[in-house]
Amino acid sequence: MAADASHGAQIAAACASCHDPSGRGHAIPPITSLDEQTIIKFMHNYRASESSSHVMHAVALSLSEEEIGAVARHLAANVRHRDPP
Amino acid sequence: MTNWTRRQICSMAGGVLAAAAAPHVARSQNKPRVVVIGGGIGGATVARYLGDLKTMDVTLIETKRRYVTCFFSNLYLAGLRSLASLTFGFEVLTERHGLKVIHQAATGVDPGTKTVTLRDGVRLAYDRLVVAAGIAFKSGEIRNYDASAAEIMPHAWNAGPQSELLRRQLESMEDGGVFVIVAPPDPFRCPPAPYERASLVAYYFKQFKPRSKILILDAKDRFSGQELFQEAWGRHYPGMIEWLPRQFTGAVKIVDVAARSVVTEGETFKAAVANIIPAQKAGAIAEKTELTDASGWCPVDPVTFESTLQRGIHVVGDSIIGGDMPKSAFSTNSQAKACAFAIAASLTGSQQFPSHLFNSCYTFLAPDDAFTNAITFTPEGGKIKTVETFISKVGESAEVRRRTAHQAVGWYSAFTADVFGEGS
Ligand SMILES: Cc1cc2nc3c(=O)[nH]c(=O)nc-3n(C[C@H](O)[C@H](O)[C@H](O)COP(=O)(O)OP(=O)(O)OC[C@H]3O[C@@H](n4cnc5c(N)ncnc54)[C@H](O)[C@@H]3O)c2cc1C
Repeated sequence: MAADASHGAQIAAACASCHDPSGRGHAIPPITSLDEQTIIKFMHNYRASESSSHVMHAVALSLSEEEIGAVARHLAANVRHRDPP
Repeated sequence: MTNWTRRQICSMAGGVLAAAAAPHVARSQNKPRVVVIGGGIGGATVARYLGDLKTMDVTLIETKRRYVTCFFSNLYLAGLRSLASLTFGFEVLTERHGLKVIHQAATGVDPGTKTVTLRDGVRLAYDRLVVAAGIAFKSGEIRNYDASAAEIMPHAWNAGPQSELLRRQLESMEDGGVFVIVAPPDPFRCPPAPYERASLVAYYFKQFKPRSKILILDAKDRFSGQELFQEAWGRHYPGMIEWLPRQFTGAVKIVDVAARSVVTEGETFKAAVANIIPAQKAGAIAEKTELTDASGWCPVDPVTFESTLQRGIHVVGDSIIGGDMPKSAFSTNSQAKACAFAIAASLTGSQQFPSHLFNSCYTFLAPDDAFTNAITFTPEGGKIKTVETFISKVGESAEVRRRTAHQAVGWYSAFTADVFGEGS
């Protein structure tokens, strides 16, 4: 994760408790290669239904639209930093 | 703190004025100093997140050179994980996350002069101190149970040599023996863990010592995840695990180390192997620093995790009065991040956004049968309150439980990478 104290970074810190930042994740999918809109869409789906993951349902319900936007922007921007030009 | 923050914001805007506004900072460097006592889950997380910001000078003090996680140590007891796979060093934190680690015990804190004293007498000055010293055991609640008794009747509630001792005893136990687990009163580290331990040791017995029994003598009348555990015990290990609540026994009062037996109000139970998990309190250095109240735990502000008893000192993890938050590695990690951003805000003028506190634990009933919970919390009226709880249900399909067990393994590797810095 990018090391800053922005709003997105502070929320993304919570993601890192389960999602491996190097994208090595197995069983828990990596989130380091998703674009902003995909992340927002996933979060809305998780918010709507408990069935696929208790944790993500709980997390999605606890975040406001503004917070979802901030974390999605942060995660997506982080991908661009990592990719070789 | 408000004044300090404002002063810092102004000075940061002026860049070089930072040192002038922070009188404690040595002239040779202009970064505010944070000292963290305890390099377990809470301390390592705070130090890593502060180190990554590169705006503070972070020193982590941890006695041990290698940290063994308690989580997944029940899998080790059942022969399902090696201890090496649960062991972490501090090299990545020092090499990649910009912090200094000192392997010594912190022996004293002087909140007046803002210094920490180490075992060798060296004193370290801080602008903010974080204490994440885990748990200590209350002495005297079970008569005769002390450090030397724990070498014969292990607690294995800090992972490492204690876990190895218990594993050796289980391995050399004869088939048909009784494994006694003495479960502690609330609040204690990881509420479902004594019962997870019973489940996984039962799994081991079922394969290698099928005539053996497990007896849980509890200091409580109910426990976390009770329905899920009891349903699984009937399904996986019928007749093997017996749980006796306090109301039946009056709880264990005395241990007889020589006879390897435990004594409740009216009865003596002979054990082939005894695992005594004593009543708990905050880690010793927290008590010595007067961060604890009469309960033995540390009251904190739920937004910044600053002690309400000592200004400038933050406490995270199992040591705190966590309100609705259980004492778990996940909770600790979540608190540590909120604490790190609060410290950064107060020392460097960055902003702390409303924090989100989470807990999510995976608990094994058998190697391919695990359940989870997910809880969200919010600070409210000076306390940490639950917002929502989701938990696995009795009667879920074997496939769902298998998937959860698989996710637990993925969680372990990501989580430990987050704490000890294997990742970015
Ligand atoms: C059997 C078992 C299973 C568990 N399973 C789970 C699980 O599945 N999920 C989960 O989330 N949690 C689980 N936990 C709970 C989890 O291990 C704890 O909640 C977590 O370790 C608490 O972190 P902490 O930083 O408060 O304490 P610790 O991790 O214990 O760290 C404290 C550190 O401080 C150091 N220290 C103390 N005093 C000093 C001093 N004076 N100077 C220098 N260093 C010092 C210690 O050496 C230690 O390394 C489990 C616990 C047990 C016992």
